[in-house]
Order: sequence, then structure tokens, then C-alpha cells
Amino acid sequence: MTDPLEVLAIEKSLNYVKLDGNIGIIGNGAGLVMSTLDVVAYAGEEFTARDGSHPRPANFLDIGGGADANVMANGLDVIFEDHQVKAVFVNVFGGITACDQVADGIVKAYEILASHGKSPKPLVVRLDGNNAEKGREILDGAGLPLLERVDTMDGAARRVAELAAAAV
Amino acid sequence: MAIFLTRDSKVIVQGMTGSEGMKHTTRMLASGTQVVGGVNPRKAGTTVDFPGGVQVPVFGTVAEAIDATGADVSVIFVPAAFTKAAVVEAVDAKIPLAIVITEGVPVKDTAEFFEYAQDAGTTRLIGPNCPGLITPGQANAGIIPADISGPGRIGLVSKSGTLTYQMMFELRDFGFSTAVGIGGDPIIGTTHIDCLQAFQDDPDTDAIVMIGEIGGDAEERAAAYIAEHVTKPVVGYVAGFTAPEGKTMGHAGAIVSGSKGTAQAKAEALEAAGVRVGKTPSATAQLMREIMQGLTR
Repeated sequence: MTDPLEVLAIEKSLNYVKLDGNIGIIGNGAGLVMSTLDVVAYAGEEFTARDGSHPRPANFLDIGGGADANVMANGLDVIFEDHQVKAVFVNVFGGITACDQVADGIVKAYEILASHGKSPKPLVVRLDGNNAEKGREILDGAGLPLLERVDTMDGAARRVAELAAAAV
Repeated sequence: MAIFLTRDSKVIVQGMTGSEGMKHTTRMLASGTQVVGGVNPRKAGTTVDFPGGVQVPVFGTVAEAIDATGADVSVIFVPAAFTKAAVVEAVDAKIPLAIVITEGVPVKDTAEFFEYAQDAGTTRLIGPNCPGLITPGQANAGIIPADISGPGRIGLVSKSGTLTYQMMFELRDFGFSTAVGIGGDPIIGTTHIDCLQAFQDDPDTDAIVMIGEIGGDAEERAAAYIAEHVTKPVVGYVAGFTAPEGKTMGHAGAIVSGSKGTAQAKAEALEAAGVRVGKTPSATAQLMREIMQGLTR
């Protein structure tokens, strides 16, 4: 294990794998995150950055079923440390975890990161499943900088790929 | 009918009195499941109150719980270190179905209790590290949220929990006969093939969604089985097309080793067996939607 971001992720007990792209990925559940990498890579083929490259996933990060505020903050912290990352996709399907709790987690994560003096990167959030409406309202009401909400996994993947391509 | 689990199933919970056990027993009861007992030797003889005025008795052993209640399903929530002992106890008591939700069970332990159950031949194991299974509108044994989708005629088998939820959500307008999360560990009890066989034989299932992921060769073996034995339409999805070689992606079994275990190889094997494979969860759901609309026309 030589990648410093993987070392940092291990210190924070995160299930993280560094990849070589520029879109940070956070999701809940190993299968959904693997699927998210695929959907983002496909979406990335539709967008071309000024240097001719296509945006691709920068990492695998599974925050698991719980996804509380601290785990979300730790996850965003590691991904924001990755200088290759131009935009971030948070893809959560609320199964056991209710989406309003996930939304609260994202809001608190921003507070924690701000208290560490870190500035956010463009973030696309897709929340579906249990209490999705409540979760979406919380995010819309919080007015977090650079955060956009997209309701479907496919739509969110396209938007984050567009943002990443534009930022290169 | 459905597979493995119906409204007549009588469920006990090993580890019911722990926090996860309590939370999910509450959910199982709320979705109409007959939870008839818990097992905890230190709390034997007590009862636990659940919302709605339901009282569930706690027994000292699985055998006592079966004797007293006629239970035929056990859902196991005990911590990883004690999971092997819990499964062995369930097998010794000849429970017909044991579902191991616990994650992080040492593979050596799983190998041992898997072989123990195989030798006994009286208990079907599902898991470990799985969300369990649900027959919507009838019973729920595990942690799959009961409110994602109602009953219907699609059968689902998946290595991944959240992809199970995602696919149920995508196809909630059709509903499911039974959805089974078999888990993504290197050694698991019930396989894709076991579920394909059961869905093929189930008169209440018209079509099957099969979700796999990188690692191992379970999908390739399932494809061979489908070609030989499954006449119902099957739609497939494999996660991890863009996964790098040699990295474990969350699930212990999810790793591409050299050219082995790739999503591409799995998708090709499934397509060669006549399975329609979607590139993404939504594309996969769309393939199933077309099949279901064709069947009802």
C-alpha cells in the first residue's frame, strides 16, 4: 500500500480504493459503488475536456449502510485531499438508512470540513429510496456551496462528468 | 408460492436482543413476518416487547425454539466471532433455512460451517454478509426494506444488497415474487444457481433478474446452468466493468485476478446463455420492463 490517500483512508477506517480519474465517488454498499464507477465511466465518454481527455472515476469509496455524518465527513475529506479530483458524486440509495439522515450527514460534513479550513469541490448528490423527499428538502434548504442535486443515478453521473470535464 | 419464504414461514432470530437484532426484528414484524422467537441463552425464559403490543419469547437454544414454536427459518445477527457457533447450532437443530446477515465472518469459519451444513443436508444457508430475502406482502427475513416494492412476478437474486434495493426500486411498478440477497463473500451458502432453479420451479415467478459482480466464477457457472435448465426469461447485470485488476472492491470476493473474474467475461458468458445483460442498473431494469410488458400483452 503506497498511495498516500489509501493510507489516509485506512487511518479513517474507510473502504477506499484509489483509481486514476478525476471524479470522486462516494456511495453506500459495495455493489452500488462498483456500479456507480461504471455508470460514471460511461457518462464520461460523452464529455471531453479541453485537453482531449474523458472524465473518469478517481476512487472507489463505500461508506456502508450507516453513512452517519462523521463517516460522510471523513469520506469527503479524503476525496477533497485528492488533487486530481475535479468534481464529486455522492450516490446513495436509502435502504436501511433514511435519506434525511444522509442529507443531515452531508450538511454536517460541510460544517466539519469548513471548521478544518477546507473548501469544497463541485458535488453532485443523488438520493433515492427511504425518505428521499425529506433528504432532498434538507439539501435544498441548506444552500451548500457548489452542491447540486440530481434525482436519478444516470442523470447525476452525466452532470458530474460534465462538471469534471469543464474543470480540466 | 414464492421461493424459500412465505407468509406461513415461522421465523426465529438468533441475536434478537442485540441492537441490530432488535431493530430488524421490529422491521420484520412490521412487514407482517411471523417472528415467533429469539435465541439467547442468557435471556432464556424472558419475553421482548415490540411495537404494536407484540411479545416475542426468548429461548435458550435453537432446538428449544423449534420445539416450542415450530420455527422453520432462522435469521442470524450474532457478532462475527460467534457466527460459526450460531450456524452450527441452527444446523444441529435441523432448521430448514438459516440466513446469516452478519458481515466480517472469517472465511475459514464460513468454510467450516458451510461444509458442516452440506454434510448435515438438512439446512439451507443464505449468506453470510447478505441482506437476506423478502417475499413482498408475505414475509421478510433479514434487512431488505419492505417498503421499496410490493408483490409481483419478478424473481431477483443478487450478490449486492444496495443493488438489490436499487433494482427493486427501479422495477417497483411490477413487483417481486421473492428477492434474495446471497452476499458477496468468497464462500456463500445459497448461490445464484440455487435461486435460478427455485425461480424456474416457482409458478408465481414469470421472469428473473440476476445481479452479479466482479470476482470468482459464480456468474459463469450460473450462465451454464441457465443455458441447460432455465426456460423463463432472465435479465442480468454485472457490476464492476471499470474495476482495476488486483484491487478488492468492498466485498471480500469482489476482485479481478489477472484476466479472471472480469465483468466483461461474466456478461459475455451470460449473453451466450441467452440472458439479456444491461450495461447499467437502469438499462437492466428497462430490459426487464420490456419482457414483463411482452408477457402481459
